[in-house]
Amino acid sequence: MKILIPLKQVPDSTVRVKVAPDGKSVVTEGITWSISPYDEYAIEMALERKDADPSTVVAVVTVGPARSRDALRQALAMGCDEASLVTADNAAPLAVARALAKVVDEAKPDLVLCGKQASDDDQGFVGPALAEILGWPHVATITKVVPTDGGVELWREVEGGHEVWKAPLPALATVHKSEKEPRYPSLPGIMKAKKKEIPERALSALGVDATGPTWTVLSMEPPPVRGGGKILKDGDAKQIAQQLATALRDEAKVL
Amino acid sequence: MIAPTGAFVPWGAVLLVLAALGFGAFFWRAWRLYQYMRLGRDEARIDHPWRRVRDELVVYLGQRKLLKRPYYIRGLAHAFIFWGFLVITIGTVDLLLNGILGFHVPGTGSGLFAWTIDIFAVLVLASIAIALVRRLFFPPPRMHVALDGYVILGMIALLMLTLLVFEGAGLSAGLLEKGYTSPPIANAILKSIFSRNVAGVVFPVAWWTHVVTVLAFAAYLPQSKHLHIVTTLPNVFFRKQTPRGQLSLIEDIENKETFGAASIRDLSWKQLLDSYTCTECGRCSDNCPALATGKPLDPQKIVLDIRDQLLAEGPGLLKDAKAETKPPAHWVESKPEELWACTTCAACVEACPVTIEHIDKIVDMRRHLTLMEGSAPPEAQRAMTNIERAGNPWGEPRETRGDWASRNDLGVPTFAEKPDAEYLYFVGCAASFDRRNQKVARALVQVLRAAGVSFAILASEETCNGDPARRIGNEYLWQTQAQQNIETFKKYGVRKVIASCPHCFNTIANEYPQLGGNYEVIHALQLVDRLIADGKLKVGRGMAEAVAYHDPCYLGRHNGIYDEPRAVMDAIPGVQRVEIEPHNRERGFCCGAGGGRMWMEEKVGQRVNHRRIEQLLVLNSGATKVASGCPFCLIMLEEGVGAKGVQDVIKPVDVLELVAGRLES
Repeated sequence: MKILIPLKQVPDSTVRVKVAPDGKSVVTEGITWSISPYDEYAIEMALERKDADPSTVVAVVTVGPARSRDALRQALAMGCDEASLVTADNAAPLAVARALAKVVDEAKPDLVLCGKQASDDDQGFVGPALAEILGWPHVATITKVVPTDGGVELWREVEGGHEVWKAPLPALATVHKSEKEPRYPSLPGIMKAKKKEIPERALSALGVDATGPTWTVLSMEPPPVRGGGKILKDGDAKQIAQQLATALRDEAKVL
Repeated sequence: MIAPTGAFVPWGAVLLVLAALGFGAFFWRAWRLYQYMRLGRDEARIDHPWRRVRDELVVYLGQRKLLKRPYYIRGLAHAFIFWGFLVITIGTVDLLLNGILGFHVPGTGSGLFAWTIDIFAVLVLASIAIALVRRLFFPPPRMHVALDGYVILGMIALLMLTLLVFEGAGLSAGLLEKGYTSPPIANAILKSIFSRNVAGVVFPVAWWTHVVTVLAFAAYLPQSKHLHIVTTLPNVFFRKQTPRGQLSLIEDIENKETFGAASIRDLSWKQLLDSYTCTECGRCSDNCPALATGKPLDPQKIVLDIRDQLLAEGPGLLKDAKAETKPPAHWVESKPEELWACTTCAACVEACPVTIEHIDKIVDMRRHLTLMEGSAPPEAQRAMTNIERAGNPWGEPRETRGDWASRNDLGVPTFAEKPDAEYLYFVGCAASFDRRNQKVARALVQVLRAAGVSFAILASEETCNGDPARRIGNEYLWQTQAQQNIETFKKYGVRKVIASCPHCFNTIANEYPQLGGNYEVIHALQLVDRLIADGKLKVGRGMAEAVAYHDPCYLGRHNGIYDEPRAVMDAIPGVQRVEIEPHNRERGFCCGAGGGRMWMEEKVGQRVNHRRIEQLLVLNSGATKVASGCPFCLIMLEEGVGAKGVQDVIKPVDVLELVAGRLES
């Protein structure tokens, strides 16, 4: 089985994001980048398949700026077999999905696993869009994949239990979580990944239609600074309850 | 000496044959063991030759590591057996030489020698009695009580008894050689028992029994744990002379293909020699906080598993160096949980009478798990990822590292702002990001300012020192973190470093030199001790209170800093220091956070920090605070008092906070 994971490089979750002076983007100077966490889960899920069946081939691809190469290296270090980079700055989500469809046509994977959404803009668009362009079955937010004869079982967590979907191959699923935490790369893995060839081409070279509906960021602002808490301690229980109700109604305006 | 005379001479040939058999068996086996040991990888252990000679005198001959709390009586019994062995061996050599070749070792005729031999024979017998009573009636819980021990004790007892008997019978039979002093105790007690006729029979029987036992002993020795009497000699000589807190460096790490220890071939010859030297006394296990709280780790078993593996695989490997090997047994039996349970507190290393180095083996095996298999526990992996990406195991934003220092108008300068500062205060991740420990950092700032010390911090330019990564087995991450700090230190020309965290202190002081970073590193409490002694810091009287001191492992056992924190506490008027007896100083009990354990879950057994709080409570000392000098101890003690519901009874603090609260301006 060949599994392809389209991934996105995002600001690491440890980065304190700051809005840039233009008010429409975030500061990206000097920050740490990493693979979007749900994409890491997708990689881990694919590698768990590979652990169970060593003939499995796991490939990763990303459409993004040149710095995204580091994210591909990280995926290779974790144990992925192949990686390729499509360079594009600020490509619209639909263009990304179309570019990925081209990559899928060439690479011919049996299964495409996407993170359910990227942790930077949280749109969750590319996975379903890619399935739509390919005309493949799509199951969202899975937690487990089990190969069956001629297809796969895709498990989803739902309230109080789980659903099991069956899909013929090829298929696409977006990943909510893997069974284990994404693996820490071994040192030989890191060293091998450093030496591995990562083919690169520009988005424009794929002949992808970059038109169509797209969006524009109008403005960005950081969330309001959280004020300090307040401790009510004067008076008996009844008085404090009254003060609390007043504060919730007049100050917090939640009642 | 009592010598066989006339009639014995033809027996010299028999004696020669027996001696050849006994010593032949000894050397044949010893040679095999040596060859097995050489299967290990190379490791240089010849630095500091004079310290090695000194240790030989103190630890081997002086039995220093046996005579320790709480093992004084057993230790002394052992020392008598050992010293007796040394003295009586001279007598044995004399006896064999005389029996075979008919000449004496010079000096054996003196009164001093006769007295020494007899006194030690009696002391050894008494010590054997102590050892037997212990084994039979009060077996120490962790001691590996096996037949081997009884065989050895029995043989030694037989040797001493036959010695005294053949001396006594020999005296009675008039066999004392001319010019020799009669053995005093045999003369006083045993001589009169045997009439001249009886003595004529008893003497050869006892003499031959003695000699045959000596030779059987030699043949049996290398099959037994008693071999330690021989192996301790080289094991002490080749012990680690670099700081205890320094792990071995993996050189040229980017170009190596295998890391850590997955089989006995990956261990060094010295680590294999350690395994031969283990006496199975169980002192390491006695003192292990992981074992004491029900974890699967047993440091003695780690060592013995290596020995058993070596003896099982050694013959095959000698025939074919590429033969397949298995990982040491504990990997198979209880999986790597044993290895992950270690806090690297060094209680085992401290307790071992024969200088076995447990931590280095455990970390080497962890290195294999982490670097080769990527199989560290998930929480540890998370911590490592956080160190990689954010420069701290908490995963707090890198750029907020210096925020604690700019809050509350503290205004601590960075090196960029104050390039001529004398000291770098290396704050460490805990004091930078953990709210409780930020207070300790602020306390240190107040103290340093009061004493007029010139210092600056690196704020967001500082990154984790790498200690947790190295102890989890991730040498690569440690090296990248350390190199990053060393580069930054170089950029600002840092020469002197203050660390308030013993882990930062240990790795910068003892391990950064491995990568070319040499600094004058001082722990905050050492500096405060000096400032008080020099009169630069005045501490006033505050509230009178009793404060227990908890020894952080990486200050105490790893770096020998026991006295300075105590001196600081004693210099504070009103503070009455309480010792957490008997778990204090070199027997201090770990808080449970070392060795990367801070970042791993602790689901099996009791939590180590809860046990520590129990040890404190059982004292009933009236202490209202427990002070430490380590941010991780503080976090663990805080959690412990909370879990035990005694947060209102005893409050964990850092010694620095005691000082800062009483500063005189």
